[in-house]
Amino acid sequence: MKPTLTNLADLCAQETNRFFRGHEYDSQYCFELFRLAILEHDQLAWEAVFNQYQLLVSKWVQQHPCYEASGEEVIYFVNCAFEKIWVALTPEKFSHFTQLASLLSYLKMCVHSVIADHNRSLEQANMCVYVEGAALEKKVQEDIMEDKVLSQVDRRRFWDSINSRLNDDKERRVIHGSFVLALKPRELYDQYPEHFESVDEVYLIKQNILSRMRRDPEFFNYLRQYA
Amino acid sequence: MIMNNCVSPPELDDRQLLMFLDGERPAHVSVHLEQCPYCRERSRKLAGMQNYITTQLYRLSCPTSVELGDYVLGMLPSSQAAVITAHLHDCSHCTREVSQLTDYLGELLPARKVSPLEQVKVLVARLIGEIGPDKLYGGMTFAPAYATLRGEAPKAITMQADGILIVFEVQPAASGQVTFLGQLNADEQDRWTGARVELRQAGALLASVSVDDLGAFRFEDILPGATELQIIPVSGPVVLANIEIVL
Repeated sequence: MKPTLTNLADLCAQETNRFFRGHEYDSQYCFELFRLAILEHDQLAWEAVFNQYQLLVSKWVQQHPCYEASGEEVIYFVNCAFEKIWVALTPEKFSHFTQLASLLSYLKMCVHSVIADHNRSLEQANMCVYVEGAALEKKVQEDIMEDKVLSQVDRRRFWDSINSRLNDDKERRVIHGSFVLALKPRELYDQYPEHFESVDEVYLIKQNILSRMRRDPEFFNYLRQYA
Repeated sequence: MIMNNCVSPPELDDRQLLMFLDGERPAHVSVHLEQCPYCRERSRKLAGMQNYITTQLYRLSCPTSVELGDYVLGMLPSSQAAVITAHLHDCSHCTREVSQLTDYLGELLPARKVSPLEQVKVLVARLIGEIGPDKLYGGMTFAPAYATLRGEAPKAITMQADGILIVFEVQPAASGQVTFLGQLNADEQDRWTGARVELRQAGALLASVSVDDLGAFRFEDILPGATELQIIPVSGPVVLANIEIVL
């Protein structure tokens, strides 16, 4: 007789306890909860998965090397991780999983993913070149806070506009390295010594491109306060 | 009030200002900026411009964190995985994230009580036979550091660990790479279905796949070299095999 959802959740909890006590355990009930939640979009099964694994996910969040520096609470990342797996683990991907352990690996990957996304956002917001002198530094910071990050579509459009005005692969490499990878010219030269004669050449290329952008009417709206 | 002209011509050019902002501060540039409000203002605007562009474009071309996660877990089609491998060659940010994720996934569950024997149980697979187009070399009992698997002619080698037999084979693929195939046979075959198979070279996890219900697994687009394979079931000992893949 097929167990009810409540029975399934109870059996999953029971077998998980057996696992942590070092006894033989049967992972099929927990696997079935995931299957119902992902493949059949069973909301109650999804809630059972959340209830069963939120403590484990909390531990994973606390164990993540970047958690402490994030400034966020554990529950924030726990909720984000479950939201992430709900979206990322499609029925097509689920067909690759035959064991509970691999599903839990995926859930743990989602914990890492939400913390990594948080870090990427922080890094993006903190991209800052510091100018000497405290008063100038403050002014630059104020300018940055005024600038909001464009939407993903507009970011892509912005890049396409820049890219279409670059003359060759060298310029493309300088601009991509400087602004997409946030590398300084010396770091760019160290990474691609076969493409540039010197660090000075990288600076010259960057200078020329920025100068062209300041004179370009299309970029005026983006960059007018820096022209 | 900002002057309209440089107080100490010639004014600094953008290249000098860019170098100054990057922390490469020739003494004459620092001195000039201390004295010249006009060039200082130009420096401020250049910094703001750079900051704006970087804020908008930062990591625009990077895979999402989930794509990197799927890559680490070996869940991407080989063509997509190859694109990410190429991206990692140039992007230290994504390389750092992948390395962090690989370490983080290393221990899946909090420690549970296991017997001392199970805690140390890693079975090292040893070469027992080589099946070639000409003849079968059997009965070898030596255990070289690496079993050699050649790709230029279809060949298979058999390794065994505590009664578990694994047949490995490589098939040449494009651009000097190979397809790496494995077939595992064991008395308790069910225990190995779904086991994770991790392939490493030079200590780095390159790909991860699962053993299917017939005991088979497959890695695409692998470069020749010293290769370590770990076959990790949900419970029980891990099988370790060291293979030198040669074209």
